[in-house]
Amino acid sequence: MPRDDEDPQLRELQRVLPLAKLTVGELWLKYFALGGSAGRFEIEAYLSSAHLLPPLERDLVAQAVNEHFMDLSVDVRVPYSSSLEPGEGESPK
Amino acid sequence: MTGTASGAMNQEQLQDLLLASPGFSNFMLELAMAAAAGLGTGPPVLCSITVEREGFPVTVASSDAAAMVLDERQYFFNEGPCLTALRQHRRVLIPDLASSRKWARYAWEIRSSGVAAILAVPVEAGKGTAAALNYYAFDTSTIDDAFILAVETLSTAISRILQLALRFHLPSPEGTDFGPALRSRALIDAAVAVIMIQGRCSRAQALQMLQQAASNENSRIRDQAIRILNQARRGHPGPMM
Repeated sequence: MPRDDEDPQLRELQRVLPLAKLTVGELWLKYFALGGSAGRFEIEAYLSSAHLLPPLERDLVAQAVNEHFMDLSVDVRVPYSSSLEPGEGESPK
Repeated sequence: MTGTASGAMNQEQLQDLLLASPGFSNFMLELAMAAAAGLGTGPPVLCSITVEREGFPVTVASSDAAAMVLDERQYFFNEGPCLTALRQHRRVLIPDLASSRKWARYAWEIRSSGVAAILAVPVEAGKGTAAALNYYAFDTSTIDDAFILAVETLSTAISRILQLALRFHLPSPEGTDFGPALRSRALIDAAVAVIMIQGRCSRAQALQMLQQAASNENSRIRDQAIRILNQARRGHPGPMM
């Protein structure tokens, strides 16, 4: 199911992902290691704008890529939903 | 085995493969025990995990050697609160061991330990396996309603880790080292369980708190998880990392 391309987090992720030089499987493993619940195919579909993920899962994908950039000492970061959607009120606190 | 991390492998298959690492089960169980020992703010308790397969119970992890001894007295007589919890799949609470008629023999057996109250809660451990989390307290006021609720939450939270830890007799996939990924996941799951118990929140909320803390500091989720676990372990020395 195609989705709108207006999600700035996904757009930025798609833009920087080639710099990370990760296969989908490698990215999924990193995301899984951080507590992610979505399956590998869901992640693949999300990356190609064909599947929606909840904000937490999207942020964990972003975190996985960002931690990989930390490993590479590359100063690039994918934004998190909290920084893109101020006042969304999804905080658990 | 031709599958790799980038192949068509689902999460369950991967988790199975992750168990190849020999020291892995101990590592995960230690994490579970660290989370368990950090429960509540009251006086310290002893805790352990008993697993029974084919009628043969064994303590797979314990916060303390004393907890293992207390478990083993039960195995020797083939009865006791933790064996009842795992075999009958129900919670067993002995609020005051000294006045318990049902457990008088076990109470006599362990009289020198100073244990005053016991809680045993079953843990879902997969087919053909029964498991229980056991808590031994030194006074009768430690195991209150909040404590029981926390242990039951933890029991649910560690079920998956425990099932993974118990299935380590699997061949290693060639050329792929999944160990670091599952170690990281185990750390984060354990920290999430601690946050769920302390904050009375859902898994998603707990994980979101960890993720936000990491993003605020431009740090790693794993480092946040270690910080949470270390806080939980204060006053509960044990083998870990």
